[in-house]
Amino acid sequence: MNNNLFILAIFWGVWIIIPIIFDGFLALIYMIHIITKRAKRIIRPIDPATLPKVSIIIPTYNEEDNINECLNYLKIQTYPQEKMEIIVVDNGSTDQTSEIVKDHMREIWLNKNGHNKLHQAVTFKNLNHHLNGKIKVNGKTYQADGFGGLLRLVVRYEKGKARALNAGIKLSQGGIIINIDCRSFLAPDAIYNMVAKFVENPKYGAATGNIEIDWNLIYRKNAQGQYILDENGHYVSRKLTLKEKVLAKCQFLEYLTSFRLGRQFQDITGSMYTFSGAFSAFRREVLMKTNLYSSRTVSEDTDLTLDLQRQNVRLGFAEEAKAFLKPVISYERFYAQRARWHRGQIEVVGTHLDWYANLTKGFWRNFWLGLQLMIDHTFGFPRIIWMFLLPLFFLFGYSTTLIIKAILLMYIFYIVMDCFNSLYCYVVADSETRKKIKKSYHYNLVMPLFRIITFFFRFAGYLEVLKEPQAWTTPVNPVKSIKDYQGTISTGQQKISALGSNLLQFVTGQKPSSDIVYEEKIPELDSFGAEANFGNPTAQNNNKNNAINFKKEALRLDGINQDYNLKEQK
Amino acid sequence: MESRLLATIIIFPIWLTLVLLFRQHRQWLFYYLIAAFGLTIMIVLLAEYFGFDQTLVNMASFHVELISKNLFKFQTELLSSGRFQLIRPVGGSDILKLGIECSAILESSIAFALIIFYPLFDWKQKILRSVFALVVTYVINILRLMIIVIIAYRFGSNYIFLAHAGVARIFFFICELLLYWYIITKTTVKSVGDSIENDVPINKTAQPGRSLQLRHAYTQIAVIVVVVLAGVYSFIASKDWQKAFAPVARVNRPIIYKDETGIETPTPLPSNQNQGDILGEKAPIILDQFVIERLRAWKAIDFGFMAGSTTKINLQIIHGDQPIRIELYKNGILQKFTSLSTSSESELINNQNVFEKPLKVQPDDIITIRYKNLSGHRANYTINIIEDKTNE
Repeated sequence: MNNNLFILAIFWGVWIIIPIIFDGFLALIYMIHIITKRAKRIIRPIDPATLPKVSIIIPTYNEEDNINECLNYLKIQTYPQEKMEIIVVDNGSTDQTSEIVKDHMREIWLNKNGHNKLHQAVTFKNLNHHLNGKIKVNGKTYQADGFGGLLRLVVRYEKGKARALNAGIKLSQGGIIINIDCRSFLAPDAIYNMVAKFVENPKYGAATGNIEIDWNLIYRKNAQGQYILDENGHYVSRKLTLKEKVLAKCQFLEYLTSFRLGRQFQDITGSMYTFSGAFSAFRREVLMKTNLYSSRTVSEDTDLTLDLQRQNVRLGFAEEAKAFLKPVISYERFYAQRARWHRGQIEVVGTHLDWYANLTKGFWRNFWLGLQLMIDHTFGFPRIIWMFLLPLFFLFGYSTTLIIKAILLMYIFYIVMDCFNSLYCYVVADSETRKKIKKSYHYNLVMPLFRIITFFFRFAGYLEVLKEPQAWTTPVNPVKSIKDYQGTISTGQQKISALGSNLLQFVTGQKPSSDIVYEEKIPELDSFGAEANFGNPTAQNNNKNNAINFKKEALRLDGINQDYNLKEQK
Repeated sequence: MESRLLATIIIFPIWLTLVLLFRQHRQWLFYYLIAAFGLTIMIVLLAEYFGFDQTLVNMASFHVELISKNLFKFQTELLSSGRFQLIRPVGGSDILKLGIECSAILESSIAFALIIFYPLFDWKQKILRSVFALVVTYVINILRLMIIVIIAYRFGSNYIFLAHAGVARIFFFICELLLYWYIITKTTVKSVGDSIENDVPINKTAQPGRSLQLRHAYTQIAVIVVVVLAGVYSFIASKDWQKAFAPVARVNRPIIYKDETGIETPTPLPSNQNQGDILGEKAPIILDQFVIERLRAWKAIDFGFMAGSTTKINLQIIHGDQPIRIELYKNGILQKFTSLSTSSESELINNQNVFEKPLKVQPDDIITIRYKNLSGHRANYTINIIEDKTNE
């Protein structure tokens, strides 16, 4: 008996004690911190007249699937709409993204001019049923008709999310600037609650929202790629396959812990490490002191967060400001996302290293920040080997049952930890989130596996940062990629076409890519009254004929926009 | 043991192919994972095959004993194969046995493999950093063992378990983490940051003089030199190492052995020899001692010999870290058997005779001892064959 205990203890030593210290203990510290500090929170009443003007910036690139709903969710905000300004910055999408935004602009204009039944008034170019304005949030139906605020569209030539965001920021006028993602749909009171965070506590210079994964946001489409509507005119949620369901629900639980526990803790200790690009807000004066978003790293939001940290800006977490995010349900995209995040982590820390590792610049804050990197990066190295070594311990004379026991114990430990975390989140969450937690609680059983998968994806990001350029992404399936690779080197045709296009570029000095098409969209900017031309200034000179054709097309589209612009300018 | 060599020979070409394939196709995760993991496995297998892990254990026990004796002034006595006796001031003594886990062979191989294949460094840096990591890991391991020894000395052997699995483990882990932080993480973020800010390719920034500051390189070299010199000096200064590295001597054989080495001629037994005093008690005459190391879980070993003269023999386990079943055969017929479990101190140190009554053997009797590891864990045993004067 004793002997068995001893043997188990050796395993426990390696496999249980260390995770307990690093994961369990940290979670416990988080909870204690949060529970003790939450009680002290003071809520001040807010006078609606004092609410500041808010600018919401949405960068888009080929988001025709999401932009409509994203805008609809903004249109039903409880925040005084006349104090809202939405700026969509389109990075030269090749799909209908900007068309859909234009439709919204028309609809708003019509509404302002007393035409409620928009579909009777205008025949829209796009056949998607995207403008019935019906949305369902937590089972409640909302009708997004009209909008009291301002909606603007900027179509840009240049690519890059960071630059798009900056263009939007420069154009904005609000006292609070909110950046959201096309895939994140704000709860009706999200903006109000976000602004309340700033009004309640003037110390906060910036805050991140509470992102919650919602698997109901994945909708059914018909064969033509259009969303299907039910008899009430709502989008119909798609039934996910088991694989997708596991990924979606695990992401839900992960985000739940990461925001309600992790971000909350970071708010209290002032060690906010990254603002979610999906929903974060800044005071204008605070944001203007920074270098804004930078495209030097792949993770512009973390870069900005640390930029703010350097200036000792108080960064907060607005728990009540909820945004619903579509889960990533393809493993390849999930891999690309995680690898990019953690590549970004290393890049950002690298560029802020002089400050990051310096404990004299704020001991506890930088201690927690450093610990985060140590757990993610440093700890990953021995862990990745031990993970595979443990099952092979029978080679070194350990019994197989013992190894299985140890692995099971470890697995159970992680399940218990995750269950405990979700339970905590359940206690602090609102009733709608509670319903979701109830529905996904049993997925805690596979959470350890999910965390292992994310661990590997993260590690891939750490290695890619050393070897690959920023724009590069790996397919998750190595066998497939090897096939593709062989395909590219063996197909002579492809080689020749690549050579040909290079030659063409050399001779004509033009990029023989589809970029030209985007450049021609530049004149469109004028028709929407965007003040600044953030695109390539030489773009208008290119390919005159096409530009003229485009102009004609733009004029044919509608006179409504021109009217709308005139009205706005007045 | 040949299986380990065989396994390595089989693994190597497969491993090499995969590593080269993934490297060529720039699949860095798979490349790094397979390269580092495969190398770790091969190092460990080869170390076991060549007995290098035991050498490390012997060396560690020698150094730990040396430090305990000279620095902490503990009363210690070095024994062979990773064991040493710790005599406590309040009375009583413990024999501490360093297992293969204490050699830190796994941790060293992992550190070596992780650094050698880390894609950031060039070859010079890889070698410097991996040697540095090996040296530092060895030092950390000695410090960890010292923690265990100090706890055992102050609080008794009941606390060895706690020290081993708790305090010392955490200490070792934190030190290793700091080492990885220093060698890998810090340089990585520095090189990446340098590369982004100055728009230089990363392989240019990860050079000595840039991300690896020259003073760090010199410090690393200095640490390696100091530790190696200290190690060499310890071997010159103290002759005790011969004890640590000495194989268990098979002297005084009153009986003819027939083990895998074949039949040997008997040697005369010196009279009045008392070899049992290390256990603080007068021990009976030891006819022979045999040490079985790394006996696999649930495996049995036969150990046969021919009796050289008429005598009564019994067995004594002077060291054993797992439960054991022992059977004594004479001319192929089972004569005696017993099962022994470990004591609460997790070590089977049984100074008593294994069997209540001795077994009488005649010249030319073929005696076989079978013993079987009853635990799920690899085990080491040291067993004495003694002359038993009690009645049969």
